[in-house]
Amino acid sequence: MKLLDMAAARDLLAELEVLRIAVFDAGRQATYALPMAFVLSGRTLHIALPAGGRMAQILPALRQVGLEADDVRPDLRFRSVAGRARPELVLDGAAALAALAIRYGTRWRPKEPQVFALHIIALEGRSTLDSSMK
Amino acid sequence: MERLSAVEIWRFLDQTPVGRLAIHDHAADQTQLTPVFFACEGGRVYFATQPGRKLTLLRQFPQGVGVQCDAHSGDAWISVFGWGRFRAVGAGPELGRAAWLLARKYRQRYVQQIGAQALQALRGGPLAVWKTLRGATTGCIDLERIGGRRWSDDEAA
Repeated sequence: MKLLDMAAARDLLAELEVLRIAVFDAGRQATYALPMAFVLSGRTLHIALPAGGRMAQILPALRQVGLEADDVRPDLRFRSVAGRARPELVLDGAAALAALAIRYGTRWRPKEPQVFALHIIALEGRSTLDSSMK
Repeated sequence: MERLSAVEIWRFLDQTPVGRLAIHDHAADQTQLTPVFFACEGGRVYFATQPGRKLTLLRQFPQGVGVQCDAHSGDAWISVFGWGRFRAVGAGPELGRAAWLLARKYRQRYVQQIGAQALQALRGGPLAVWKTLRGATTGCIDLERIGGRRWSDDEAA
């Protein structure tokens, strides 16, 4: 297995289309995660969540969230990235919404979206695509 | 958007190759999400793992561990999420059953992975073999709650 440093992991993340973020929900005393569309710019991700949804309610109060994205092949070889980011509510999310619409086209139709920036704190990756473990 | 029935959820989990464990480190107030190969039966999610940060955190904070899976097929998205309590499966019938479930789900690819790990350990000598055997852990999340939803590309996620 090959380990990817922050730069390589960031490049891989930019290729992938689905990001999952994990948060600790104190009300449920459980950790939960959701898949979502995203755009990456430098070391900041932008996501848009339904404003009335639980994740959007929880996120502003959190110091950090977990991130994960992966590409798993039918033979189970994979590339994956995982890390942590600091969430920030974005009051004027027009530019991020436009970037999301450009990236995903008609596959992405948000409902009352609230934009958040996720500032990457740590990111690393793993890949078995070029190892002998096939 | 529609909610999945229990039958649909378990069928989806059976067919989905990769899940993710969401674990919260309460001491550092950090959340992490890790992909895993897994198999399910009777409200339990089994996975094989080796010593590392994931296993350390699971042992330290076993309650409220999230399990997440998603897939995009055709023009539909499916996302399943649940949570429960982690435990390491001890020696006995359940351990054999978990290994059988994983082998049945992943077939020759599971056996190949085990073989590759064994080969790697053998190359490292007797100590590496002992460490690999001793460290190999089958984990179980006893799910307390699970739900799923399906939506099409024409709907908001």
